[in-house]
Amino acid sequence: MASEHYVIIGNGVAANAAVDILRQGDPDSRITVISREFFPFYYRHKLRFVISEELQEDQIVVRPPAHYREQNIRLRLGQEVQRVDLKEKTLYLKHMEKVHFTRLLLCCGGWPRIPEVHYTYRHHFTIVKGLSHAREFKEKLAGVKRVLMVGGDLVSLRITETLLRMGREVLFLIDRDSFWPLTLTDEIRTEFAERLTKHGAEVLIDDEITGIEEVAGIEEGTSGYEVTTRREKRISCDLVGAFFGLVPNVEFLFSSGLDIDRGILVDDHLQSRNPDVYAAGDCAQIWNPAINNYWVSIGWENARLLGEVAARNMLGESATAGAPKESALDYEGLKINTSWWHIYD
Amino acid sequence: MTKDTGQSGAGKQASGYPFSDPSPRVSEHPRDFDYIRANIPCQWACPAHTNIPGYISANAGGHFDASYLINRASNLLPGILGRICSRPCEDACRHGDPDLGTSVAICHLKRVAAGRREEKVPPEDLVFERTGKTVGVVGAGPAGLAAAHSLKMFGHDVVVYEQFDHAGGMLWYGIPEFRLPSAVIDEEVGFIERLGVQFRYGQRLGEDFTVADLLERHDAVVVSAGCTRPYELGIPGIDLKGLYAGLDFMMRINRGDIPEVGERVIVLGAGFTAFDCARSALRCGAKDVSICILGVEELLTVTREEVLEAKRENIRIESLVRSMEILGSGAVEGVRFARNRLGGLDKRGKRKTTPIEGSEFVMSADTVITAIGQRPDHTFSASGLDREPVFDEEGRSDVEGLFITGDYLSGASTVIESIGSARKTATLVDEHLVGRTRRKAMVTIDPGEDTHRQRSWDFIEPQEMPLLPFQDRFDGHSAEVELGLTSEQNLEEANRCYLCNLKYEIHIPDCIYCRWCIDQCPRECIGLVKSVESTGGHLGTAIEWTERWDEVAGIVIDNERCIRCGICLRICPTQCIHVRLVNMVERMVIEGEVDDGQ
Repeated sequence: MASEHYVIIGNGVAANAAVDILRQGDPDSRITVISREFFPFYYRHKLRFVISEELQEDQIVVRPPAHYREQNIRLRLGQEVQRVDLKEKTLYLKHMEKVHFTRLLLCCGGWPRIPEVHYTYRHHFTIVKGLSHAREFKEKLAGVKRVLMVGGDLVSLRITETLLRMGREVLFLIDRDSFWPLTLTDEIRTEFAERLTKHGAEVLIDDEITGIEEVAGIEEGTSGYEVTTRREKRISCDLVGAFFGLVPNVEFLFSSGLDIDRGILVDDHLQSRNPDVYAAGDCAQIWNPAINNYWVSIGWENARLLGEVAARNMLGESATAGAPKESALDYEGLKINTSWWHIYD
Repeated sequence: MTKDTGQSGAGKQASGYPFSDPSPRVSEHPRDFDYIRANIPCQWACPAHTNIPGYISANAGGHFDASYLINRASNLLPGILGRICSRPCEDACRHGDPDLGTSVAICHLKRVAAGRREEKVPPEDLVFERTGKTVGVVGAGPAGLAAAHSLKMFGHDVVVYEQFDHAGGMLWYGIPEFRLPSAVIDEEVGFIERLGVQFRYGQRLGEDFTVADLLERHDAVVVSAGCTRPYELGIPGIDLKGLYAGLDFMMRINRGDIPEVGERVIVLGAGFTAFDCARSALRCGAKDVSICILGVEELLTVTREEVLEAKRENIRIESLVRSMEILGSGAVEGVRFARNRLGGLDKRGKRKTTPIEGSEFVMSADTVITAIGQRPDHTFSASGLDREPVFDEEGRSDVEGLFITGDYLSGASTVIESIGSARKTATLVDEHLVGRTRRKAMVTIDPGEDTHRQRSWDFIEPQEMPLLPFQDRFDGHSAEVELGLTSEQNLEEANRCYLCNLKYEIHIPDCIYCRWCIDQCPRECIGLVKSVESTGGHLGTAIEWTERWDEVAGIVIDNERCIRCGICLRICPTQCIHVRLVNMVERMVIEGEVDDGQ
């Protein structure tokens, strides 16, 4: 009988990198992957092609469920962990089931960030984080002529291109303080604006939303929004896309006793205060002795590396997360270093 | 004979009880208080034990005067607390259990009751004849006001000695007007004055009078002098220009003497005062404000709404940082911090933080506000006496007639905790003066009826507090930010409350074990049992469930899981499910003893 039951919450790149290492290092163990999403592991950066219907959903899948069966890994899709009891080493799922673990890896990722200043409007915002959001976005686009994009992050820039290619009008309200994960300098903001304008988007800078009201849509029989701004502009649009980056998805852990700041606080071995609980990927807030600061990973490659480090340590090795790999936000030649992401808001 | 102080709200819910045992009961048995603790968590968590389901039920029925009075009977200042309460009730609310969604916005509903009542002056509170005894109360903060009010109700003559020129203490001087308008304080303090409590302003203990003086003038003295001694930061640079103590900063603003602040402000501290200072600094003209906390946001004791509002006003919260030095030559130029690591629990049960070696960094600032708390100055209570009095945990002293209460007794706490503390102290003072207990907490068990609660109400989204538009907030300090729930929002939010003061029971002799209630129950709280035993413990009973028919001894509703949806009551073909209304109330014991129902 297997002695270890590794449970991994999340099914993104960090989780899957960890799964490979765990299965390789402990072939007889039980491994369970629990994901809130109903869809198997997929390339998130390809969601925009699903929105534009250039790719079908199954074309963005990284690993089909069969892969997990072959590896003797229990994949639980569409199941939400509601509470973690560390004393009992038990997860409480939303559908009233308990799952016990011996070692837990949290790869629960990020969730779309809505800055507090925009919190009142959150019900009017359309977001794109996972496949279900992309489906919703695609569905909404059917009756949409004009889209207002607010905030700014790499995803929003790519989706703007996609929308313009699809023949939609795009108005982009760049929020200097809420651009993720950076606070934009005037120079960089101007550069972004120039590139977006070149693609055909209308760009608004030095302005912010002061009100959103649901009204009749531009097309007859549809609904839309009337957005007012600090500079007293009135913007009519059919959809408001909010792109303010991500925050670690950790709310369900608040009562667990784990140390949570912005993310799950872990040391450079990705171990939490509880020796049997590790965190990797976008949800982990990692102490890095090299820079004497906490940091949170950003991007696919960092998440993969962190997943591997966490898994090695769960197997008893002593791997360190080290410095994250250098990465840069590259938008048509405009490169900004995003390797050291410390500040979220 | 006892007199209901108006807390039960029973008249709003109880009528037409059709079942076999309709007799109301009043109990002082510990088992029944244990039932309240386990089953009405909001009321138990409230330091003043406000009958929350009672007043929410009245709100839902549009009975705002009754709702206000149910509140006032326990917490005295519903209009004030409806704005600034720390809301321990909401943390305990069953609707906030992990699988049940979000707590009811109990505090906002309190404000609705205060704002929408028609009877602008509450009816006379006096219950007892005048005793001829007099009590001096030192300090007109929340504790002093609550003690004075209760003692006046007991029939004593009360004089409150206040060092400033307004009653309210920290309510008036410590909380910014954009959170608590002064008119609201004046109105509710006015009700206490109207009752006949005398206020003597500009009277400072130790300067204008001593405790010994008061003990000569009065039959009893209650010192509720609050917490006035700020904790010291104990780091270099605290004498630099541009550094303020948080409480002084707020007091200056509330007196109209607006302090000068620079563009960049750092607030050191994690409590309500820190947040009030940060938000006030913006209204003083600061452009960039950060609140720097030792621990993490999740462990903050301020309400989540306060954190959200501060962030909405573009205030940053820097977590896991410890100030090491205030930097500057002559005036503040910045703060040197070290990053912190969370550790285990300290003696008070709070998380320890440890600075990490080599992690120091500097944040620039023009103004630094330290809001790390205050403690009581216990030299006050000895003034004029020939020895230091010794106090017990409840505030009694070894000096005849001398009591302390509120923050002065417990250390810094919240307004509702101060009120709860002072009401208990007032009962002790009254016992001392008349020689018997004249106010008691009791559990009333009355017949109840179906509330016609709809299952869909369990899924109503929490109602969001309407807010003053961002652009209208910063012209001065007095524009109230939270505007109060609308009538429609009040009804929606009130309907979210499960009304945990209802107790659903199955009368087993009438049950035909059809299992309809079990099958329909949305929370799996009804079941067949092998045994139900009284444990004597604080939860009272231990239920042994079974699915084997040959073991079944009965069928019960686990009220600790029950969400009072009423489906079982409506579906039962034999009407064997009964409802009782269980309330914890305070009763004035006017004469004789109260039957405890045993």
